[in-house]
Amino acid sequence: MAGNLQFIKSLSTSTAVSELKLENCFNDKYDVYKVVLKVDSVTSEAAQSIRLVDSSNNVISDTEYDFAYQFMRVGSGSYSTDGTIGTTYWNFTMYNEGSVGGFFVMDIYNPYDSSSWTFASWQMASHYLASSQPVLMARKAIGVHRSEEQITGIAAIQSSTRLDGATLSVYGVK
Amino acid sequence: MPIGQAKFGLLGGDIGNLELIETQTVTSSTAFVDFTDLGNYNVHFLSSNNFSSTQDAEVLVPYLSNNGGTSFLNSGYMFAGLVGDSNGNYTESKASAGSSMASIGKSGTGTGEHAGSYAYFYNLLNSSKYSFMTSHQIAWNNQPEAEFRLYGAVQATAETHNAIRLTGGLGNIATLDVSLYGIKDN
Repeated sequence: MAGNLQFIKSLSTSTAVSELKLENCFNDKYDVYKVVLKVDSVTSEAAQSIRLVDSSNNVISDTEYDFAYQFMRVGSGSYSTDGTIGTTYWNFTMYNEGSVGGFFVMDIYNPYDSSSWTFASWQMASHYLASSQPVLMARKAIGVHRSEEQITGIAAIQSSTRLDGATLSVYGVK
Repeated sequence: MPIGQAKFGLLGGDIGNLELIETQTVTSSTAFVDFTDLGNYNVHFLSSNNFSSTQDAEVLVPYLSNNGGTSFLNSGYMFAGLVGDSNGNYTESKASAGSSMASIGKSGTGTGEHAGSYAYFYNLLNSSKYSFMTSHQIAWNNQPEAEFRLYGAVQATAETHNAIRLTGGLGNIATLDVSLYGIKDN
């Protein structure tokens, strides 16, 4: 049965990379998009962040990203909340270790509208080891990209080349 | 997905969707609702509405099975979440050795005291990965007051989980409309 979630594009890697970049996945057909990042494997403990891609297919790294999040953990660590204004990415979107998996689902609003900012909300669940102690990590967050420009793509980034099993998928919400 | 596309490949076109697997409705006291056909998806989406339990202040509780629904796991779960209500109370809810995959609905037995929620499940059918879930619930609970629940959860055993059970906590399920979807990406 066809639903109201329309697959647009996905990108996968099975070799270690530092970036998964999906170009030309946002367009004038939809106002709302659902993005799923599935991380099946990292070569070493690694955090992923998100940047948006402009209409020239450049990854935007200007200090235009704000976000706020709730950080829920069990196993080690404690609940916390925080936020950042004017940074170069949406941080704390994913964190992984080993090959047990983890994922986030992000809803993105108005990316293609050149006269509005781009808003997002996301939730993630993942698992890692803190001094051999199993830890479940869950986050719920909101973000805004404070620039009136046309956004055509999205990139999952990390500071090291550790992402060796992952898929980034984008859907339009009808 | 063709192997050539799977390795750093691009896929395009309207070839994937939110696909309904099954809808179930409960209108009288029922011990549990099982989904034993999960299709073939990496990501599942569960939407529930109008949940109430036969017992006051009880919750809608998901469990996973590793044998197609013959039995359901009651250990090995980790969950971490936040419960907040319209009186301004915020409480952490977490377990490192939980007996269920968190809870996705809180109800009372009074008029209108029911919950709706959605949850994403990931890697249920992947035998080499853990099974994860994130969820968000809104309820008019047993106080009564508005209440939200946010959870992340994992069944931290790398094995295939091929059935989902929902129970009404310590009571039975009194009312529930629930649909399970697969999110197709190949």
